[in-house]
Amino acid sequence: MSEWTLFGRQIGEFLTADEIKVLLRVVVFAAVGFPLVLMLTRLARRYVTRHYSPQQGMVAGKLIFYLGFTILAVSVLNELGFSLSPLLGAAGIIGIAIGFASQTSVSNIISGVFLIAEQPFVVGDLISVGSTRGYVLSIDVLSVKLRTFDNRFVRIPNEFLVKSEVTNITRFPIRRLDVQVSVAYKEEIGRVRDLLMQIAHDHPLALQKPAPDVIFSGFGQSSVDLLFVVWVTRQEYLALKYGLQEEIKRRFDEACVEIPFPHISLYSGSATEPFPVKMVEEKEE
Amino acid sequence: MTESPWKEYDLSSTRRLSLRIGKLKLEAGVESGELKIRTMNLTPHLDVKGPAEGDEPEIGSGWHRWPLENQGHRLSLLPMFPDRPLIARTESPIHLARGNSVRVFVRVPVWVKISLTGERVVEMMKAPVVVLSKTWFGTFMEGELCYWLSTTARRRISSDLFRHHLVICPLQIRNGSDSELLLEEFCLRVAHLSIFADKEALWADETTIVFRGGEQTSSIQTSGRPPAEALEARLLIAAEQPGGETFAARTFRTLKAFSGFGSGG
Repeated sequence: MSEWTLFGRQIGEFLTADEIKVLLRVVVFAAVGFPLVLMLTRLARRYVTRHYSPQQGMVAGKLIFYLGFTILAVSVLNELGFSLSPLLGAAGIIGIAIGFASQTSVSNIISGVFLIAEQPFVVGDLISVGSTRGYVLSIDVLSVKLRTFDNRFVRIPNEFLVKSEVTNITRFPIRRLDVQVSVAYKEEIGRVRDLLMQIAHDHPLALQKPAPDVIFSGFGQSSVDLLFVVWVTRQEYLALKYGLQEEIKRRFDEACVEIPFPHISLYSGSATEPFPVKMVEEKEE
Repeated sequence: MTESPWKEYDLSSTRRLSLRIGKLKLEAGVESGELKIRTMNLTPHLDVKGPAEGDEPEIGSGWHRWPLENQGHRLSLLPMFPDRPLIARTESPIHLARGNSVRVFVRVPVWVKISLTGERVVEMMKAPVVVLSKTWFGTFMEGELCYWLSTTARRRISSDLFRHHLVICPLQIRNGSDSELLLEEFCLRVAHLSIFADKEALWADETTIVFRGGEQTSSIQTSGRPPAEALEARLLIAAEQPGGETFAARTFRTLKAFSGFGSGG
């Protein structure tokens, strides 16, 4: 007698023919149903992403998955002969208990719905929340996931986002880059302004409109402070930020424009020369 | 007047091709079964008028290589318009009264389309003869990225202004609004223009723009044929989007302040 036949006989001793049929149906349900749910999830996500947005595709995929999984679970339970009525009754009592215990989770879920409806940001946007700045990877049921510039993974609960100030850095197509430029008091401001405007005109990433500008910020302790503003597309912001400052330094060096380091001059009176300092060497005896 | 660069070059008989088109230096050659091409832009951000202070150190890409199989060794150079619309700023604004119209000429630096011809035409690469600055046409919240071009917007064009790397674009602008139009900056939608060539110059088909006032889009129509100044010119490159049609597009910037500090729209 083969091993399979022996095994079948042993099973037959514990289960009736009807029970075996039910078990087989459940296995078929699970084996066919689960991959089907996964396939439908993938199709839904792909379709909605292509026709709408990645964010909405993700939501549609999750909806189909949870719904399909629930239907599959109920069907399997039904097949196994479990009546759902007592379960639903117990679920009501358990639900109240769980509700009290999971207020935060429920709040996160509801906040997530508001975030999706209001769309202060979408997947792919660069946002700033408190001291955290990163690209939105996903907006999920309980939280939003970010990837920071240095490739760290940050999870922010939805409730926190709804209650906090969130800055969407990449919502609009263009951004303004502000560069603080300090020059020595002896420099002619008009000449420095012309030089900065030429730098903006020559830089390949700087936009000519909105026009760049140079604003006199104020009289610093050691320097005259200027604010140099240049507009750029959001995709090229960082490239301009790093490249422009290097270019300013290079052109200032070429044009002999002094960028002073912080210094203090001591005067003995209102308009006298600074104190003379003379090093005196000790005579060797 | 130098010879027109827009033709085919036989690389099988030439070791290396070296050309200067406007401020673009182009080198190409066939070596060990490979086609190599290098382009360099001299004095970046040069406006159409010419270099400010002579040539500066070259910048640009290194060599690009294509393995050759059965393609021929003939290189074709053709002019094409830049890949974005252009914002042309007139050096001296023109005041156009209600109902009046004006015809101006704007010279646009071309891009070079480099293709390998043989059994079939294979496009290799494209390069601008002049690297133009970028600008934003729209509002702080939406708009489009364009190139920036400074122009004298001449009323007449003479042969001393003909260059093989500049396409002369005739524009007929009519003020169909109820108030004066200050022609200071306008958007040139080059995707709708074709390029024609005669012996001396490159020409675009004539564009007619009717300004309707305020925030309304202007009506734009392209003729689809050479302008009156160059009736014998032959078609070199057809428009990316068919000419001869009337379409509406934003052409003139609003008079609201669009300053660098984010005020206005």
